Amino acid sequence: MPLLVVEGLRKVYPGGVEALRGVSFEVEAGEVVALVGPNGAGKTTTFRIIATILRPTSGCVLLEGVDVVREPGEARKRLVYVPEEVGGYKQLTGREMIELLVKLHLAARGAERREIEEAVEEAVKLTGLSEKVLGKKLREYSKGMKRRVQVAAALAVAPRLAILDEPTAGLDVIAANHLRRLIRRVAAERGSAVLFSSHNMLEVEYLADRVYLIHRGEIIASGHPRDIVEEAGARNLEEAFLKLIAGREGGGV
Amino acid sequence: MTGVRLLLSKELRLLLREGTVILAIILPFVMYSAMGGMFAKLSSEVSRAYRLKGYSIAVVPGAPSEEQAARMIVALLRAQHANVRLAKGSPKALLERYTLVILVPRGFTRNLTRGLNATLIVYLRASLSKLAAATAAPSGVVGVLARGIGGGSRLRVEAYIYINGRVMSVEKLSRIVSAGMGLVDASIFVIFPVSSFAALLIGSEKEERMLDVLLSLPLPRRDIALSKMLSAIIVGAMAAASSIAGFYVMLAGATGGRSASLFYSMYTAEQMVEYFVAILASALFASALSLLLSLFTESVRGAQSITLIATLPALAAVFTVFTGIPVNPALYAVPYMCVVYASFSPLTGQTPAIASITAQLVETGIVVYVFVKLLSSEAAVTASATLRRLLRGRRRAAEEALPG
Ligand SMILES: Nc1ncnc2c1ncn2[C@@H]1O[C@H](COP(=O)(O)OP(=O)(O)OP(=O)(O)O)[C@@H](O)[C@H]1O
Ligand SMILES: [Mg+2]
Repeated sequence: MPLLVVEGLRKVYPGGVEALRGVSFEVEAGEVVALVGPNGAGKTTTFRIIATILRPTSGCVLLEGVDVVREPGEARKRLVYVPEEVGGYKQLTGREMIELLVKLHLAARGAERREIEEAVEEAVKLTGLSEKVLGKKLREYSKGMKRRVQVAAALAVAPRLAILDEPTAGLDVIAANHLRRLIRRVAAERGSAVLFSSHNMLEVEYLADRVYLIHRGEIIASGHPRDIVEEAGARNLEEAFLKLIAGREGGGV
Repeated sequence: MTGVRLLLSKELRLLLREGTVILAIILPFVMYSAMGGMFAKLSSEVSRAYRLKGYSIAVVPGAPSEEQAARMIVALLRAQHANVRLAKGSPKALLERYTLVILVPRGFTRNLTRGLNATLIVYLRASLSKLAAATAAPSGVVGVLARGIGGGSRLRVEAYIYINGRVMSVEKLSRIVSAGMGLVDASIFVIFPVSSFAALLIGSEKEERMLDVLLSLPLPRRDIALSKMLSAIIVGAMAAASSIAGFYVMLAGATGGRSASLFYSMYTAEQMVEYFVAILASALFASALSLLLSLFTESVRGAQSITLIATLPALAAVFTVFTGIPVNPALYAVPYMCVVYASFSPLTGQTPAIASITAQLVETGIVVYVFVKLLSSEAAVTASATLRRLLRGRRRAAEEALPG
């Protein structure tokens, strides 16, 4: 059984917007999966449902066989979520923020003190930020720095599933590159599956073992990036993406 | 100028389209007009008491030698349209039928004719809900008589109040009332900051984009609620300690160093414990309700404005203190009234204090339950949008209902 099974997910926001119309997909353990699609397609909505923040109108999500709607507490022990609009408690230093996130997570899983301390050190290393920077309050951080703190803390706890909503948005070229390698490495070494979204198709091609293309709340294509490109008769993922969307909209974009 | 006009219109739209700003505009009117009504009632009661309006008065000669003086007092009071008659018997028994008993003690006439101070003893049946009137009535007696007696300035009154089944001197009653008022006012120093800090704790989660992260962490929602309530109360208590200490120093300065401890010596240890439990129960309620209301807003500012609603009943509690403390089971359930009943327990007794504290704790439990339920549902992140939509829907419906 796959690590994550999303089945027939529908979401109508209070107010009537139908953001998802039957989304189904799977993520295997240790797999890196991308959810790509235009603005407003439903990526963030899907992530927030899996992360137990929103409830689906219908459909179901199983994480390691745990129904995230019925047993959100169990599901939360297995996942981490870094939202698209990244922030942080501005009164805390970067290091304190990491400690807080890592400790809250691992304590709930019943980890021992030493294990927690190691994870904190690991997270500190993963940020790629200097001790000096980590000693500063988050109110002095740039958006990219805050994202590095949260992604590092998320990956350091070795979750079964890490949900990263546009993890490289706002990061400089070097930091984005560092983060991509980090994601690959953590997935390979720790066996954490990563479900992420991105508007950078080069990044998706580099990172993803599997891509789901979502459009207006529906999955319209899926597969390994190479296969999607081939099937669409395109030269690269970006072109394939454009063709597939255009096909759906019956003409030009 | 166009720039100013455009910017002005933008700023005004930003402010006036914010529900919490509208609330901040309307609330003061509601509050102060409610206060106005209460003060008007209070001052009319006090002035009626001062003119002895609505009292049935018995004048009792304490000895045969004082009969004539008693008759004179009856005549003087009658001339002022008081409902008064000469009576015999013990003041306590007479208070069953009269609201005010004036005892003319032996020696009163002699003192008056010799140009010495002469003292009347006044017994007053008072109700808890008209405390201000009760403390005003004895001086009313002096005032009315002084106008009729030549040597009015030598007239003294020693007043005892029969209230809630007990007799006490008017001085003691005044001391209890001012101590009670002080304690009730002190609770304001706790309730307001606690509520504001609680609002900050939800508002900043939203402003700092951390609510989604917090809600995805493996933490029981109950723990989230509890830690927010406790931290709001701890920091609120610090703010309260600072205000109360400052207030104390200010009072000590005003009373020439006479310490307020004189007042508080009237409370038994048990009553003090009840008071602190009442404050704690109120603080828990204020924090829980503020957390709950804050979920319906999007920012710290919005949260702090909407939580005014949570603290509003505290003002009601403070106002009741001015007019008197009605011992009415319906009021036990009003939030923060437990502080009033605990502060005035030397007058109102223990039952109202315990009952209202219990009610407050039950209410707190209900609010915490609802808050935890909201945190456990997606309402934690959708409540503000839902409220906004409801308000907008209401406005749209109202607009559609307009003719044309
Ligand atoms: N809280 C909300 N209330 C109502 N509608 C919402 C809410 N959040 C999102 N939507 C709507 O749901 C749809 C999907 O939004 P979502 O945020 O999931 O898109 P997305 O794929 O993440 O887009 P982007 O690439 O811009 O991040 C959109 O039509 C959006 O307007
Ligand atoms: Mg999104």
